[in-house]
Amino acid sequence: MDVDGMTLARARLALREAVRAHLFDPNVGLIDFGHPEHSGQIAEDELAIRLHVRRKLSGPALEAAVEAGQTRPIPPFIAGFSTDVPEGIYRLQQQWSGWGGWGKSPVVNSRMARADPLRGGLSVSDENHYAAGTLGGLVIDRVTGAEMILSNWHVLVVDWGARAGERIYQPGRLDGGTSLDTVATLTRDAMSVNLDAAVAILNGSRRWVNDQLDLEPVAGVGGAELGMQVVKSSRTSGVTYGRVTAIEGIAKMRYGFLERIIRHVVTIEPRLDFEAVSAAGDSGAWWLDQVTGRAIGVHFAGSDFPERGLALDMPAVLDALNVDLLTTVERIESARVAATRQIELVRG
Amino acid sequence: MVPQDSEFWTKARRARDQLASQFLSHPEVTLIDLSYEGEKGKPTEQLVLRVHVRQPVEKQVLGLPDEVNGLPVRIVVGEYRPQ
Repeated sequence: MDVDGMTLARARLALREAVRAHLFDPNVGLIDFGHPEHSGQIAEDELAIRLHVRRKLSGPALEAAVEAGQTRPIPPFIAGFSTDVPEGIYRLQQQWSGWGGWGKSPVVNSRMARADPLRGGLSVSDENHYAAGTLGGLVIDRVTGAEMILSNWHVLVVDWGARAGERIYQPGRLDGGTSLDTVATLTRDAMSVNLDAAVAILNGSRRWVNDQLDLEPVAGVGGAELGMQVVKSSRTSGVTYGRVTAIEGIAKMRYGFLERIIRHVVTIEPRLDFEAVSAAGDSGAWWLDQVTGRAIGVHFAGSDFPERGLALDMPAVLDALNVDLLTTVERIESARVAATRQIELVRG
Repeated sequence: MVPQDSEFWTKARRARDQLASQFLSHPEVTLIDLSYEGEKGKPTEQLVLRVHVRQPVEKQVLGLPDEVNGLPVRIVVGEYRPQ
């Protein structure tokens, strides 16, 4: 079956909508565009948006899972295309990758890979969801001096019932992260004060460096100003640029089935027409002032039509979480990692 | 650009809060923020209150005022999701 360019363009839009609505569903492992299945037979004369689920649910089981927040209903149509819900756990196949060996999964770009040292712009997620957001950067607890990573609530916490101590993976589970990739444990979040932000204390298993992948080191913290030219480094979009077009925003945002008010919102729009600002998976990335290199916001949401990104005002986030940015430039290795390296050298 | 002394911003925030308390609960409204007025794609020095809505809609349909505490109110379309 030939697919014309117009249909493909419509399919891409529908896919984006499907990804937006279902990416964070823990039961959905893959979303693509292809032929649907009817009673086990592939209908090669039909096209559908396919949402691959780990476990196909229906009737009371589906209702119970939806009620428990474990999945969400999939509509029969998305942007004019019918939906198909095949069952499949693709992560197991990824682990068997002949190229990378056991435990490795195919990596779309280096941001989605395991990284050492850690830095801003890398894939990260909590331990319980097949999801991935962006590791924003490194901060220090104002009271204890503990080293932490800062990202969004919906990247590091995700569940309303999550507890401190839950593990954080780098890369995120959507990118093949497992318990072997634990780099931090959830410490606290700022959702109670209307900020989609959280911090997790590093466990010392990897080195870290104070910069953003493919960008310069973070030079400090600053406030967003109207007209400011900004840049971020993030898991999905890589390095993107934008312009602050609004500040002091108050947004109404839906997280699963709950709606929350989010404060201190900074609106960022493309510098040029048709330029992308952000995409799903970019959440948690830090927006930096292009001139000073100071971090001015934590990316957390966006819209595709029109292209627009939303960030949380960085000073408000740091105050709410009681942390400071790390502004030293030099690489810092934890004693534990250094000791491990010594042992490897001796064995080597 | 517009003066950015603390009194100016206190008034602007108050106007934003007033608008938010009245209209943020409306199902069509997604975000209320402060921005420069755009003219032919170029920002001017006029600060405005922007009310983001899911679908294009006239101000009168939502019952939005033309201005709050001297700041003009503008409607822009935008529906946002966590990314």
